[in-house]
Amino acid sequence: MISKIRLATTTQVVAMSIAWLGVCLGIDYTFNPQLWARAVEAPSSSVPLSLHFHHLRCTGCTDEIKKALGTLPWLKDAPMSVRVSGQDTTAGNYAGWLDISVQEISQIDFIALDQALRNEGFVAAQIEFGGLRHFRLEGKARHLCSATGQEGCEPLPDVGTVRRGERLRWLDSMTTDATGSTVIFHVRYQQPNERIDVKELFAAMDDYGMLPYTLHVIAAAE
Amino acid sequence: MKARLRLGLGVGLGPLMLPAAAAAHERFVKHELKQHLQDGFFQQQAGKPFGMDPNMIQVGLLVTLVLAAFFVFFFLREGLDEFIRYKILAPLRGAVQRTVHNVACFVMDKPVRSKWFYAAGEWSVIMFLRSPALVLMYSATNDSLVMPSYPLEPSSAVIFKFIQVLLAILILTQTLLPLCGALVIGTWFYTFRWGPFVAIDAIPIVTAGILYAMSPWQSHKLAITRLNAQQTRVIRFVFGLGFVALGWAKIYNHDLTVGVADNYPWIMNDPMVGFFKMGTDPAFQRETWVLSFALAEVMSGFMIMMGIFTRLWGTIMIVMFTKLTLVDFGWDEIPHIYPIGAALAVVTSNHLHSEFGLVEKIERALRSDAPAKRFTLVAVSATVIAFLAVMPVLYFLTFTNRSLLR
Repeated sequence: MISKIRLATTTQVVAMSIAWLGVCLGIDYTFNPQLWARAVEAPSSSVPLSLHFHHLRCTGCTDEIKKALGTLPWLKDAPMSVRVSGQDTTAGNYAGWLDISVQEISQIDFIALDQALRNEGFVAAQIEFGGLRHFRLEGKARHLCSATGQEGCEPLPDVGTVRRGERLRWLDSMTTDATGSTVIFHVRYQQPNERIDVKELFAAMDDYGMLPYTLHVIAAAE
Repeated sequence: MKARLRLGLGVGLGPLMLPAAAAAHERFVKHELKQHLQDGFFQQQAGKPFGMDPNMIQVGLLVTLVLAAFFVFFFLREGLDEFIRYKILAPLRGAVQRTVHNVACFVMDKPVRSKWFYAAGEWSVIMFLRSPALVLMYSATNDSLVMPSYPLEPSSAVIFKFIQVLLAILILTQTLLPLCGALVIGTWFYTFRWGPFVAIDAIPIVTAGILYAMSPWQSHKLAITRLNAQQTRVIRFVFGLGFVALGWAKIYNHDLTVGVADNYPWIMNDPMVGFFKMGTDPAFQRETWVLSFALAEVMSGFMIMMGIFTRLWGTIMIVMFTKLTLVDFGWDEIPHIYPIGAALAVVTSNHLHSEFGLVEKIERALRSDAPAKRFTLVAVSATVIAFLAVMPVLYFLTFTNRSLLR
């Protein structure tokens, strides 16, 4: 039973709206400090790259993998170390992470990295990359429907259809450039300790049936 | 609506064919620009009248003319109503007479005294009241804020997702609706954090927020099925304002607008837009299309905002947004439930009034014995209002710096 209908006053609505705006901004400020940072961060001198192999610690494997990676100019003198964690520590498990500190960021090419390993008979299960807050991956492809658009040619899929479950949650959007030969994968802003798994992108590209011949890291402003 | 009927019909119903950029959530609707526009067209040009491209002036004046014509018809609608009543309805009887009368009342924004219309109105308000909860839930499951096209930062996503679910539950259970309204309005202000274009795109959300804010605190104990005159007015005004702002934003951000058309080229064949760009230089075909398209939205939004043929334009909006969601763009455009709900609630309200009551009052006073003054008043009022609604902003937009959009 309602004795009297009570409406919110304008003051109440305005006050609650402003208060809620403050809460939203407060959440934003607390959890997304990168969006509020005014100072331009100094570019990293080196970035971490971690490769997970199922046979990293088999006799001789580590050296062969390092040798394979050493064929890449940008990894030739890069410091590498083996790390074991999680399930890899169980007896009989020879898997592990190869942590690499890469200094020549602009030279990083994940396709070349994958190819160099495959040439020696290895495949990394995961390729985790991080250390940069804001960057994108730029791939050069021979076959790509260009932005100028041809009839009868399938354009890039939507990001929503590429993501599956946890896969590629770090991917913000995809674009092609005017030349029609470059595909750009924009990575969401990363927290200092966050890593992206480039192999997820490889799997998505396999699904799509497209493989660029290079996949570089671009940290410069667009 | 795909049939190209007569021009007049095309002018009236053209927006049904305006799918893409009407609410292009550009992250999902493809908008890759395939050919650059001639940017100078939209900017100040030395040696041209008012520094504006003559094609721009032509399109602007034509839109002004059409807008003025709608205002004239609206201000003189009482005369049209008398003609319908005494010339058309008088010889009719029964259901036919009632139907024609109701249709006339519907088009002229007068109360429609019909049981089915009341029932439709009640259902529309319930739909408008509760359906935003579904979009909020959907957005939450898609790591987005309010609309699936506004992705949340991963670091704060969980919090905002839970907040949206809580808000959706409050809405669905009709609990503390004024608080819900404040949360919606506050969240809308928060969207400015991501830029004015996001906030403009999200204005339809505010219409739902206003309804909540104007509801009783004991909302959970009540069946809210009607909008009062004040609610109708505010919701109509904000709803129209959203389209006006979106229209101007389309001219400012012209590359995005034409980018959508590049990916959905059939939208360039719209009859109303074609009418507005009629006779312009073919060398500026794409530029005049953007302009005409945007001004069509400004025009329709302005009429809704000012309460001029609200039901007619509201119905067009409902059909247009339904078509966008079901035919043109599909699931990604599900947030259109917001404007569809708002338009339904406004269209089925029997509390529609224009913002130009003063002109209508004077027109009424002059109706019996001063026809010349009456027509002059209507013509001058309509022309001045239409001109002020279109041309000044169009002119000032030529001075704007678009470098931030690059």
